[in-house]
Amino acid sequence: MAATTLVFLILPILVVVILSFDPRRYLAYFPPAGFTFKWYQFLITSPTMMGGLVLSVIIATITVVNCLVVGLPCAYCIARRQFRGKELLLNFLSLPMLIPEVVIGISLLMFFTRALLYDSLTKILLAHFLFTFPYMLRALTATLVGYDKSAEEAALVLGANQIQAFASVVFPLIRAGVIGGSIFAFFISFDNTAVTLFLADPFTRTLPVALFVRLKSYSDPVIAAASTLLIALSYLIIILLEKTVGLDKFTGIAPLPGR
Amino acid sequence: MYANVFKHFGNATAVDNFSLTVNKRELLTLLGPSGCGKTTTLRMTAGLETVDSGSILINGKDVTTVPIYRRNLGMVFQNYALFPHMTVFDNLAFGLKFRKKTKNETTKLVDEALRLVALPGFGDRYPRQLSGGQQQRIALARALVIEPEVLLLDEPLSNLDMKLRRKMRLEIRRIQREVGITTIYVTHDQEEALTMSDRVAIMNAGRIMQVGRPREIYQCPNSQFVANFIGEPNLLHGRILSANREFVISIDSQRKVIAMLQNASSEKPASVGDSVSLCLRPERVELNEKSIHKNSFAGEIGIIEYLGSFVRYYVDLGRGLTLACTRQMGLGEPVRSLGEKVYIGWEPEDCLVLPEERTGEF
Repeated sequence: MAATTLVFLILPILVVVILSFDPRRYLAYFPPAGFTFKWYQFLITSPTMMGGLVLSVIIATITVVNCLVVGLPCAYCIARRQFRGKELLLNFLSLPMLIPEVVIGISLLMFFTRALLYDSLTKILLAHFLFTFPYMLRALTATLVGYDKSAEEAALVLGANQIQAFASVVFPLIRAGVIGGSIFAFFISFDNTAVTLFLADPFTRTLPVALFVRLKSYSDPVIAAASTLLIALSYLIIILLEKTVGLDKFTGIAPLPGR
Repeated sequence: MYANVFKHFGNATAVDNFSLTVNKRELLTLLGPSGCGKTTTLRMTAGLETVDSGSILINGKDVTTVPIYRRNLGMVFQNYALFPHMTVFDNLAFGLKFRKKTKNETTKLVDEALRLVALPGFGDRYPRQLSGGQQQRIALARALVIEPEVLLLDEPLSNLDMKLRRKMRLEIRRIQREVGITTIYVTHDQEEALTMSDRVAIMNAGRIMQVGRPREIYQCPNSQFVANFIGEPNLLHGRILSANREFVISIDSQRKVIAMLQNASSEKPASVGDSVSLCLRPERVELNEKSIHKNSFAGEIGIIEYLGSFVRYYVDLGRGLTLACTRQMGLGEPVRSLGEKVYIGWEPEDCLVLPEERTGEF
């Protein structure tokens, strides 16, 4: 059963990867007519594509930083303190996960226009922060809630002051959540197409937007090549994660100490 | 030493005028039901909770306002609170980092601590690789390696199963004696308190009810609460009819109990007409076919609980009165049967007259 599901999920991706080497100038039927790297060559030499890639990376990175700066204090308060309306606040902050991207895109565009904010890069950065924040918050809160406060207290009794206790005990334990949340946020921002499409202009095109725009005129395997590259990148990062941090930790299931 | 310590949480008084002196090298247990303030007191000693009023002194030094990390205490938490991302060695060495030890000194001290808790060579393992009992011992080692002035333990055995608990009880006591450190132990388990402590302080609702050696507390409880908390006594309620050479107490319209005058424990002496509680330990009553004792009542065996090394009989004496009797089973001794008619009896010196709980005095 599991094998069938796996095949069902992977097969389409496999087709895309194989077609990216197809020399035919259109996305033709399987099987491919030959083998070539020319689409990859095109990608790497195209200024729009490479520029888009660089821009995507920059935007994603800034978004992650923003999310962390706002998210860490938020997560700490949510995990540690009780206050009225906490449930409500949490649900409210999670809304962007539920609203369709197109809706977010259109409403933001209207909002920014009314607010006389025309700079595309700023708009994109604000928007990306908006819909990546819930994921970062969740990852951070999950780790903070799961970790045991008494380890911090033990450090204090043993002679560490607040800062030392935080650095040597708390931070290493939430590091998993921080990394996990960051990776999540990075990819959500990097891959985002719909919202960015509404807010981009011809000079600020992220990679997904650039690909989308190209797709309107050409339907050649370049898109397949780009997809394959992105898949490879994601795969690499996941492997890196597993080796360094351990996948179970950043999905929010931190082991309780002392058991 | 605690002097008039108070602690409030909002409207609730968690610790109420707590005054106690803990002697050097002794193991004193704070015993009481949940919410009685014992853990709060312990945490105040460590500095993890603030003191609202009163003072705490360690070795004559007032530490009430000293921050946690300067108090030089060792603490073992209920869930051990080991650092999961550090090896056992690093866990133990953690406290030493703040005490200016050289690398050699640290290694030596850590090794000694591991030997003390009977886990030599465990330095390279991670906490998650250890069993519950081992983690417990590492937590203890971590608290002791820094050579603190006082050792604090917060219900450290609650997470272990019965057998392990019994074993660890002895271990902790052995280690505490070997190091000779003043120790404060918090628990709600009376068996732990009785077997491990030099002295026990029983707490309820933030106050100390009684302090003394385990034997004193068991045999001479000063109140219904203490009597009830330690062991499983029979408690009879009644009113004093006369108090000449001995107490005559009526427990209901037809039955009377005779108790010794000097068994009463309270500041104010009892007088005729007072409501009292009679504490009667199940192991001090006997079951016989005839009425032998000065206090003797006829009844029927209602429930029998067989516990292997001893048997508990619940004897129904009619009109809603039931008394429990436990007997150690000797070799070949037969277990009585349900419904058997017996006399349950005891001598006046086997029961204890205590103030009725409502007023706290006679």
